[in-house]
Amino acid sequence: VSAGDALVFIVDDDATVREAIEGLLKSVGLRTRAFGTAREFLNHERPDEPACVVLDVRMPGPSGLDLQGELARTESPIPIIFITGHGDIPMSVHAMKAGAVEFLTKPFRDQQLLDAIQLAIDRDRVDRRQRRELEDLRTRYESLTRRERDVMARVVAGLLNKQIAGELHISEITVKVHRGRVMQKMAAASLADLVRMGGRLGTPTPSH
Amino acid sequence: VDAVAEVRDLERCIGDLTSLLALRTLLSEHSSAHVVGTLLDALFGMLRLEFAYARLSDGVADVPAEFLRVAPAPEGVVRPEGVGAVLAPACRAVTAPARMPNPVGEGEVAIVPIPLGIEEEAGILVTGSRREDFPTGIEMLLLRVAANQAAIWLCEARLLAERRRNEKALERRVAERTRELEAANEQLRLEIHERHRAEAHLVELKDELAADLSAVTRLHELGGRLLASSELQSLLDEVLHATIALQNADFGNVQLYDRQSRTLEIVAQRGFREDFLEYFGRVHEGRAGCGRALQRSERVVIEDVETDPGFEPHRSIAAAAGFRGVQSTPMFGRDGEPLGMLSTHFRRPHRPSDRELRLTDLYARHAAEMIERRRSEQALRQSAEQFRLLTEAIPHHVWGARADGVLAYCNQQWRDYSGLTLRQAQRQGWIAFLHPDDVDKATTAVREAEALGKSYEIEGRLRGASGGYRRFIVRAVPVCDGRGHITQWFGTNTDVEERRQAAEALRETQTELAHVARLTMMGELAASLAHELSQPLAAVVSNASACLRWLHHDPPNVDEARLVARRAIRDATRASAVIAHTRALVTKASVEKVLLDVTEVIHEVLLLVGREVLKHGAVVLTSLAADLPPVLGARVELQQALLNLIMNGLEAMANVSDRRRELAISAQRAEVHGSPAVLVAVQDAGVGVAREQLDRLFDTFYTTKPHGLGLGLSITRSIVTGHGGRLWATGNTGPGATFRFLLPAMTAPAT
Repeated sequence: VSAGDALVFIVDDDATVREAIEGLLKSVGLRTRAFGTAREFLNHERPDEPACVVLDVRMPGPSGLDLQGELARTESPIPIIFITGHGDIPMSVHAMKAGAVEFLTKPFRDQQLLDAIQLAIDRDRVDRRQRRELEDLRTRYESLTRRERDVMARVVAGLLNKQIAGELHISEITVKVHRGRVMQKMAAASLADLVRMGGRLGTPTPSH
Repeated sequence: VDAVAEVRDLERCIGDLTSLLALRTLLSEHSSAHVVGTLLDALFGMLRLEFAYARLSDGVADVPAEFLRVAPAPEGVVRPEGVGAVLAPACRAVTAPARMPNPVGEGEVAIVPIPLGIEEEAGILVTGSRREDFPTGIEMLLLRVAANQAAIWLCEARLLAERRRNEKALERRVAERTRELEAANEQLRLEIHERHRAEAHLVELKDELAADLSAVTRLHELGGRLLASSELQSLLDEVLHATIALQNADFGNVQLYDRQSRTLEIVAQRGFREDFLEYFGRVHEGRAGCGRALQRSERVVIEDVETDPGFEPHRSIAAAAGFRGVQSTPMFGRDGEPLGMLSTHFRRPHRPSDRELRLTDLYARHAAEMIERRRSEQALRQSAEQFRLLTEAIPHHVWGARADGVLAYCNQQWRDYSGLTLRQAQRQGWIAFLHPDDVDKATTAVREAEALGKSYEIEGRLRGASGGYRRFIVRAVPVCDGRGHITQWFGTNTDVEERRQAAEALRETQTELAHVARLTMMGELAASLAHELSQPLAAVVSNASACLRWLHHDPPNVDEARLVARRAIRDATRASAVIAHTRALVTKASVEKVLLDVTEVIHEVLLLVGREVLKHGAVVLTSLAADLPPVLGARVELQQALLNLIMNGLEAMANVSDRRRELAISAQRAEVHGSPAVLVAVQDAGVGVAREQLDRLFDTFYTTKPHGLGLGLSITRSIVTGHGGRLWATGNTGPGATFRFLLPAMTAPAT
């Protein structure tokens, strides 16, 4: 396991289970932080680094599934590995559909848990990068003027300069100028690149 | 001054003398007692006296002979006789005023004894006063005048009384004589009258006796003939014949009363033609003579139908039949209801004599008795027939037996079932029909019933015609004579084979359902167990894996490996504890009763229901006394009982959202009749139990839950009862219900 400087959260109401999982992860060099209830975990300030959470399904107070729903609504979702003492199929389906990385039934093999943690941390890393990139893209998009956004939306939609000029009632020359500025501000290497950016940003389709 | 006072005294004296003399006219008609009393009162009024006393001689006085007036004495009444006795010696010795001790008060008095009449022939008057100057000359004068007057009055009164006595005596003698003469006269008159009457009566009696003798002879003969004839018709003919002969009548008929139509119907007759019989075939109340007799419930005699206004509508038919006089005598049953009418008819206007009517009543009563006897015989025959029909129709065996048990009667159902006739059954005896295994029990019960003269009820198998046995309930009651000896038995056999089979089927179903419930519970337990085990097992696996990984490090981290290996052992121990606790619940061997710590049992069950508590979002609060005495019980059963109560409480709170789902479990020391006990309570905050449901809660198959089987609480109850305990439910003051059970405990400590 090469989790690098990742952090694994453990939420289980059973102290011995918490302790055992912490011990296991420690033996493979993972940093851990354990909590007895979902509430404690939510109230804890999470550091900005790749992480995942090993979560017991059934706990007093909010259950693991409740916590999953709550985390999904936050700005920074975190990959979840469910562990349960008595998992049934409907419960696991529900958890997986809601985006869980893995659903393990106690007692589980150590490798199963470690593999799942690896997968989750990798996924979190990617997610985090993508979130960061999208954030950059948004910042760049925010720097566009209104007119430049109009032009970009139409370029991304595949309209020709002439058509854009017609729609916006401006000259073709002006369209070209705006287009150049958009490419520059968005740091787009090519038209294809810009189209891809538009897709990620979900730019609105031009209105007439 | 003295002269003036003397004049006043004289005037008063003259006034007093006049008064005394005037008294005479007032008193001339009165008795001597009244005369003396008035005189003493007058003297007392005139003179200031201490007392005034008079004694009248015999022959002068009525009773009393002594009189006394006294000034109010301080103590009580003073009797004249007592004063008289004190005065007597003084009176004899002294004829002039003298002094002596006061006989009616204190001090001394001056007394003046004055004879009444010459030589005291009428008596003596004595007056006394405490005054020193008593008596003054005037007072002496007054007393003398008064005494003289009194003597004269008394002598006059005596003469007058004597004359009156003589007159009265004469009158009385005359009256007595007159009464004697009158009485003698009356006696004579009565004697003469009595003699006349006795003579007449004798003659009358002789005639009557002769007639009665012949009538009674006839009645006797009639009675003999009536007893001999069994037919009601000939009986009635005989009665009619006898009555006609008795009354010397020309025609007659007998009618019977029909209660339903309330009419009289002719059933016997003599001397009537068809038209009469048709006309009077059925007579309603109030019509003609017989109808009237029926209505009044007494005999009706119509001397002449031509003059009787009530008979007017029937005169033509009477004329056609040829009778003028008629009498109708009703016949009554013992209950007072009319049975019929005995009527006789005469060609001439006629009234039967009282004697004839009296004898007719005898005939009618005789006939009524006969009619009733015939009718009750008929009713008896009918009721016997009805009884036979009833016993044949009843879907049970009905039988009668002699005192010795030999069958005397049996109905068709019995014969059909046994396939035997009564004769065959009698030969075999009843024990032959019993299943060999039931014989002992049955004969014991029958013998006991025989000895006590009581009824018995046995359940046993009886052999049928096919040779197979069916289960019956045999019930029999003895019939006893006056001395309490059993004379016969009546009994029924009721087939309960099907009922018993149904009951067995039901019991089997119940057992099955209980089994299903147990399996369901076992499933729940298994899930719960899996949860309880998976926690420590997960910990064990993780710790063991970590241990291996520490050992695989280069160099191996033995310290860390040891740490997690220890944890693994600890968690594995925990898992085995769970298993050990659970094993008791599923192995049958643990049903045997051992000394148990109820607290321990509660903890074990809480371990098992942990998952369910969580699932229901409930919180369990426990309050378990530390010093509970041990209970002798089956661990599994008590666990199951507790489990049921806890599950019940959790389910009751399933839909509660406005308050905490708290389940409070407590165990405390208690006492039952001075013996130690343990009281366990499971209190929920659920929907509670309606008052009317409290009683039924523990019934098998009673449930208030949509998916419940209604077994949990009934099983719990049977477990608690099986431990000699008691289970009950109560509504809480707040929401929810509390189930409590009380188990008898041991005094020895738990081991």
